[in-house]
Amino acid sequence: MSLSGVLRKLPSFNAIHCHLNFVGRIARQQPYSMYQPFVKEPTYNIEKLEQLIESGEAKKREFVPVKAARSDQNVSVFHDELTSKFINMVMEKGHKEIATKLVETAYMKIKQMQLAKYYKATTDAERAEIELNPIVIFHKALENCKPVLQLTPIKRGGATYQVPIPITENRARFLAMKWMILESREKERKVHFPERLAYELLDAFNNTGKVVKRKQDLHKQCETNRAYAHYRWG
Amino acid sequence: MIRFSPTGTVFRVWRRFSSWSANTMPITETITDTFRTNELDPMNHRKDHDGCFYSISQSVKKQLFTGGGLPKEYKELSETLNGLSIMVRKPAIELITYLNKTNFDAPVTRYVLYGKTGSGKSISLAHILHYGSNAGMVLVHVPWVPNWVRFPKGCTPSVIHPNMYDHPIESVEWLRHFSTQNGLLMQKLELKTTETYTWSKREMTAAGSPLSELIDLGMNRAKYATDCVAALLGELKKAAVSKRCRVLVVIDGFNAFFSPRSKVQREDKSIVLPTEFVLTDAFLSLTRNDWTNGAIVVSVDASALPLELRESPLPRYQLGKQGFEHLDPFIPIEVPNYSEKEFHSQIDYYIERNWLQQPKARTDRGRAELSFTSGNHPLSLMKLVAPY
Repeated sequence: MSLSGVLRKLPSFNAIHCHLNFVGRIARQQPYSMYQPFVKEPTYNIEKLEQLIESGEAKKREFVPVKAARSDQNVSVFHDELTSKFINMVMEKGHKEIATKLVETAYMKIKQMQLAKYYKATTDAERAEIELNPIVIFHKALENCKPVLQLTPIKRGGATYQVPIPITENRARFLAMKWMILESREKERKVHFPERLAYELLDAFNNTGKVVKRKQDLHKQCETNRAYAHYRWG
Repeated sequence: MIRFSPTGTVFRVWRRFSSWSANTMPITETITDTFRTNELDPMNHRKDHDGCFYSISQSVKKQLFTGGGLPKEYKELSETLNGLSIMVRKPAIELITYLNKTNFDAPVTRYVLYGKTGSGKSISLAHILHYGSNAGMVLVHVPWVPNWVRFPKGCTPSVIHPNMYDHPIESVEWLRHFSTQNGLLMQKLELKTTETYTWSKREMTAAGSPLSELIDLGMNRAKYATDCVAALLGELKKAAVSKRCRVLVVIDGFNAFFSPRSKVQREDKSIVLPTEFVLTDAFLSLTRNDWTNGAIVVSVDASALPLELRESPLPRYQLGKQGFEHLDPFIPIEVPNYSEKEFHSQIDYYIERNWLQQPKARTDRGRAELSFTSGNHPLSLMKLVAPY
């Protein structure tokens, strides 16, 4: 079972959150939320909490109501928000433990591959260049896969044009994750998903591979359709 | 928390102090070499080495563990981490102390390692194997008995013993394992057979021929391999009694011999019991205390039995009535979870080998979390640390 899974099942976990809930941060209210607009988001990261207490920010939020923490927000020192988002995207039919296991196995494989290179290297300079931390590799890989433009169909004079428009941070991250998962699922039958994902992440980390190619293809198409860019307005 | 060197204490205190403020937490922490020992010979391992890692050379690893002996996950990890290291733990030290002080003229003593699955019994046995090899003992090692009971590669009715069953493929594998472990030693000892073994009308092994002939015959003629194993064990027993060699018997998953069922079926679909195997017979006769000049170390584990018989890890439950009476009297040795010192030593080792990568895992808070979530259980800790 994963670390976050274990933590979630602890009886004292909810108690920790009750304790943490007295501070929050301002966020945009979702429509149809069960909370009133003035209810704040919880701060569940202990280090951020300590920062808030030190800076005196916590004092201001003492009597502000705060939302209950979500089940995937936990106090583990190994918790990574981006990874937990990615796990949710890998998940099918709500099988979160399986998804967590798949992503964690991929991390393990990344470490194995990088360590093999590390122990093969002969000089210290070579060794220093090899990144071993799987979470750092994951973040950098996703950063390399994020597009800066996207195409949207717009109807003008009876014809539909693919018009390049700027992309939001959220959408770019979503596309990068989606492409990463789709490319990892396209594989031979004998290769398992975690192994494929590990290879794709390492490729993207080095700015090569299928996912980065996909991003570049999108950029190329945006470039060819630049003449339609003004259809975005009016 | 006890550290032996003064520098270790300083780092420990500094780490504890650093945990007060998360902002000033050091990202990398110098690891003192308190978790390693330079004493590479298990014969000299004492209480001082408790919780320390010692490394095993590639040649010894090849000699002892080529045919099994290390759990799969542990073996893979040791390959990833570029070298096999084993932690010197209390059960192994206890066993080594006993073995060093044993009076070998008395009947053999039986030691039973027990504990939860994943608490380190197999690794302790590997440690003892290395001890036996260094002490110049003939090693009779069964890496994992359930392999013979659960999914044998081939199980045929015995030619010689009526109503008994042979393991031709497993026996050939075991003979190969025996000869890789003891090849050099057997050449030096020059043991001879004491009886004439007749395998068929044409094939026989005469009395006075070297034991290696018996082993070679078994490896080349799979049909007679199982009986060769039985003959070899009998010969070793006799050689030990006559003080020509000292024998160390190491069996992992011993309770599988007394499992209430196996996956082997007769033609009428009735189940063959493990006690009906010729191999079981041979190894049970070796684990009786009717001989001298040897030692017997076995482990009992819940995962060696069918699913419904895994309630308790204690020897009486695991062995059952029949097994307990077979081994009685024996010395039980518990293999517990990590103590605090062993836990920190393990984490230090993972960090030094670059396996534990997250910077926060090196802080006090990270360690406390790992300790709590794994419950200091060695296998759980290994799995928990894998993605970080």
